[in-house]
Amino acid sequence: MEETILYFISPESYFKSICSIIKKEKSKGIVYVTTNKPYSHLVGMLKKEKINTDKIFFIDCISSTVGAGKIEVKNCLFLESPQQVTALSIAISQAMKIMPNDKILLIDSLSALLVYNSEDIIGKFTNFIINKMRLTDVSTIIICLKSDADRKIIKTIESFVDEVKR
Amino acid sequence: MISRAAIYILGFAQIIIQFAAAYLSFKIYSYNRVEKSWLAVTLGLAVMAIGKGASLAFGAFDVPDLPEANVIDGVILPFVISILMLIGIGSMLRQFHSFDIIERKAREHIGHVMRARAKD
Repeated sequence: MEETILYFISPESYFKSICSIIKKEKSKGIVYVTTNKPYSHLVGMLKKEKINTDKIFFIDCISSTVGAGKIEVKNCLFLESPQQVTALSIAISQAMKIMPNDKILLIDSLSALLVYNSEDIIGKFTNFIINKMRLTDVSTIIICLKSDADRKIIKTIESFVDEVKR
Repeated sequence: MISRAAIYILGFAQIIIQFAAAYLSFKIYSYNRVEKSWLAVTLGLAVMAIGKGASLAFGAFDVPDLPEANVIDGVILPFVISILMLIGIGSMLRQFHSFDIIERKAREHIGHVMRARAKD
């Protein structure tokens, strides 16, 4: 069954946890939204963990913001900034529409999105994406730092998801 | 012939409507995080309302007609408002165009991922 899970991860085990999530879900088509690390850096780290990144579709919201040079990569869509949540919603919806059958959306991370956007905007965006994914039978995994768990907006988002893992 | 009272009532209604429109255009900005230049529309609507307010106030206090005031009210303000509207609406067009590009690029890139998955 398709479900929505909110993962609380500590900074120390952050990358390891993401790798284990990807390895667990490798049979599915993964759409990986990164607002945390630029694509080039992230892919390098994933390859070190022997993860085939060619089979993952990345939506990179951070490279342009930190001034990374424009590169044309076949499995990544670069957005101008993490503040472009409308553009991000369009990119996610389009990717999910085309990707066949078993697919999963991985949002890395809610904490980084909250650095660039107000809580109100992220609340609306998360609610929209979660429900849009539910209607299209897509599992959603949202990553959040443990240190943000007490924030009011995170508590609200906890009520949107099916399961919270700590 | 329209009465002076009706002119003032409609004038005030116009100011309220223009400020309401300015507020709504700002809400569109804050809700959708469209480009900053969209705020030119908000500014344009606010300038319209302020211009109308000034013109009504001059009329109410029987300020004598000055040629400079007529130039500001009849030429400069409409010109500034037109420029602001053009900038704002133009930015909205750019935004929608960028959404089109995102959709197209997503389609292209996802095709590559699907081919890589099909190889397995």
